[in-house]
Amino acid sequence: MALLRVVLAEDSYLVREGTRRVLESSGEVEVVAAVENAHDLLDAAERFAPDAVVTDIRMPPGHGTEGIVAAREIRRRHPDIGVVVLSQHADPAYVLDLFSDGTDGLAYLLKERVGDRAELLRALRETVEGRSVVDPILVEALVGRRRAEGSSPLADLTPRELEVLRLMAEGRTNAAIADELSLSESSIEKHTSVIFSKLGLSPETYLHRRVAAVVTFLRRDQIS
Amino acid sequence: MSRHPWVLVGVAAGASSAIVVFLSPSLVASAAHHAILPAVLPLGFYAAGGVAALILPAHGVGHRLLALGVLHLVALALLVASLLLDRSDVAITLLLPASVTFTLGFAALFDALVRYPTGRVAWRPLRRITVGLYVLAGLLAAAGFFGSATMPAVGGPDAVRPNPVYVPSLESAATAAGLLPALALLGLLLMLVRYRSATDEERAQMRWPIGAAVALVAGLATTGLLEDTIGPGAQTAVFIALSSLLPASLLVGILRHASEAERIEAVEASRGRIATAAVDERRRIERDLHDGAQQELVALLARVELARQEAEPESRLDEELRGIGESVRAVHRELRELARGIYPAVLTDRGLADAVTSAVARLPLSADVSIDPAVASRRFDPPLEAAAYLFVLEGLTNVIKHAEAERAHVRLGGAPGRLEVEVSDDGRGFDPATMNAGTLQAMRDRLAAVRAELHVASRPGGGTRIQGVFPVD
Repeated sequence: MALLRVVLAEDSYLVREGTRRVLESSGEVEVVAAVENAHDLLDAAERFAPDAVVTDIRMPPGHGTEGIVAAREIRRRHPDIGVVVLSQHADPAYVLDLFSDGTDGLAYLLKERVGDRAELLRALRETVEGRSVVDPILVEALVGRRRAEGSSPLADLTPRELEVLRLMAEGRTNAAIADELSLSESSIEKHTSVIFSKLGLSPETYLHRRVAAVVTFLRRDQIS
Repeated sequence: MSRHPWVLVGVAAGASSAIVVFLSPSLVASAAHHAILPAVLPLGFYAAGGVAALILPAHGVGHRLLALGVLHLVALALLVASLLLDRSDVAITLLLPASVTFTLGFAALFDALVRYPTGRVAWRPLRRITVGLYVLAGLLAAAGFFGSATMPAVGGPDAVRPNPVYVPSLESAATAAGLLPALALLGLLLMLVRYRSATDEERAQMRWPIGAAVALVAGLATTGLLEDTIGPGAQTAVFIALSSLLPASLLVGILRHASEAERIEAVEASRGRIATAAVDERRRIERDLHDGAQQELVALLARVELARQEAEPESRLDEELRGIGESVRAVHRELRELARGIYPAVLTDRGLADAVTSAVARLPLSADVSIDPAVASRRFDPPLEAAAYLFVLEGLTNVIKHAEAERAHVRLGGAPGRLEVEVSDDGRGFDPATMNAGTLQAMRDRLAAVRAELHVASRPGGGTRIQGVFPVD
């Protein structure tokens, strides 16, 4: 398998080098550039045409949401580059900001996943394939937020269906969900079709864009 | 002195009129000292208004007191001047304006009294009414001049002359114009009405003129009763002494109000600066935690992960390293929650609406959030955002702790110039009168630091609604 070519953006030297080594030691990733601000990240994305970028959110000069702005800009300019945002903020508002132009090829992971190589690599591969991933902790928060916004059709889902939906939002396949919940794959398929019909989602969003559909649903009418 | 040229014109007109009045005994034998006594009170207002206009050029009451003094002094000077002329048809050109300025003076006094002590009219429609009163007073005085059989004059009964331009059909205008001096009384009565709704500080200032008016009435009544014993001279002396109290009391009141307002403004400004500094400090600590300890822990997690690669899978070392990783992650999460508690990054990065929505989603409570589109993406000053956010959090915490509510509702809304933040529930409510005042007072104090107000509506069994109203630019 060819190495994934990745550009890394992180203003802390310790975290940047740590992340680089975690990624490279997997033998699946080559970090082609490691930069410390959003401007250089956009440059490097242009210059190195990587498969994916991994970026922090809060970076110089403004120390605000530069990473999210850069992530959306990269997706807009280079739809074939996957973007994994690593964040210290366990807050759904940032996820919704990241996904405000669409969810394809974008992942939002909490920074502690730096110590969870398997999860990090999975997110990278998913974004390169154009799918999206949201950190499980954030999926919970997103569901909570959607409920806080009132009158959510999520209220119609059974606890089991909510669980399936959550795993779906994490980017799991039906097989993986079946494995996780110790159920048969066919019963997961039944659950997912019920979920989609309860949420009023059309069948064409069903397969490869289902995470996008879930997150889009969660985001819908967020502030009416 | 005020930069307003009319103040200078008024001061000059008042001064020259006063000179004419005080010279009147030597100018006109028939006037004797008759014009001097009525000039005492206008002179008092002239002096008090002049001092107020000098010290507080922006205050609305001083100018109007000055105007009253000037208008009445001018009226007296015109009366004196008219005596210098033999021909009564020429005198009319002086006496008509004298009637008008005299009556306008009472409109100015009314205007000053309704603005006392703040300089502003508390009840908006009254501002228009006052403007209308000036016009009405001027017109009635002019019409009333023609409607009275005799001409205005200073001096004893022998000074009164028939009015050569008397128009009997205008007599009712003359009667009405004669009532206009009662505007002074009306102004005082309105002050008594406003007294009930005034602030403690305004009440303290209102007591000065009210006290002076009471003293004047009491003094005149007493001397009137004792007139036979003490004689008219003593009554005049008492009148002069007590009537000068009125302009003096108004001057004292507005000066005290202004210095108090200045002090309050200084206190509020300093409270605002303290609130800003506190928010800045919290944001700094959050940033330090984020850039420092939190990042160090992430780097440590990476090192643990790398070390695990060196360890034999499933070995004791691998297990140990996995455990260390879990602990570091737990510390990292705790630190993240700590940083959020100190100052939520989402409030800095995304603003009030997102921060409130996120906070509500995290609480163990079923709550709706409704946000006006005008507020949804709007940013406010950090101290205001922080105060509004903490207000919602505290409100919801109280709902969880005390309300036994099924549902809670958070609303962010607003009107031009204000942001309204509301937390309501359908819980057991309370009687605001018996509520532990400390809790609400603490909330009120925190809001006051950003000049916001607290409104509480609750009744036993009827749920609770608290609302913070924040002034915004």
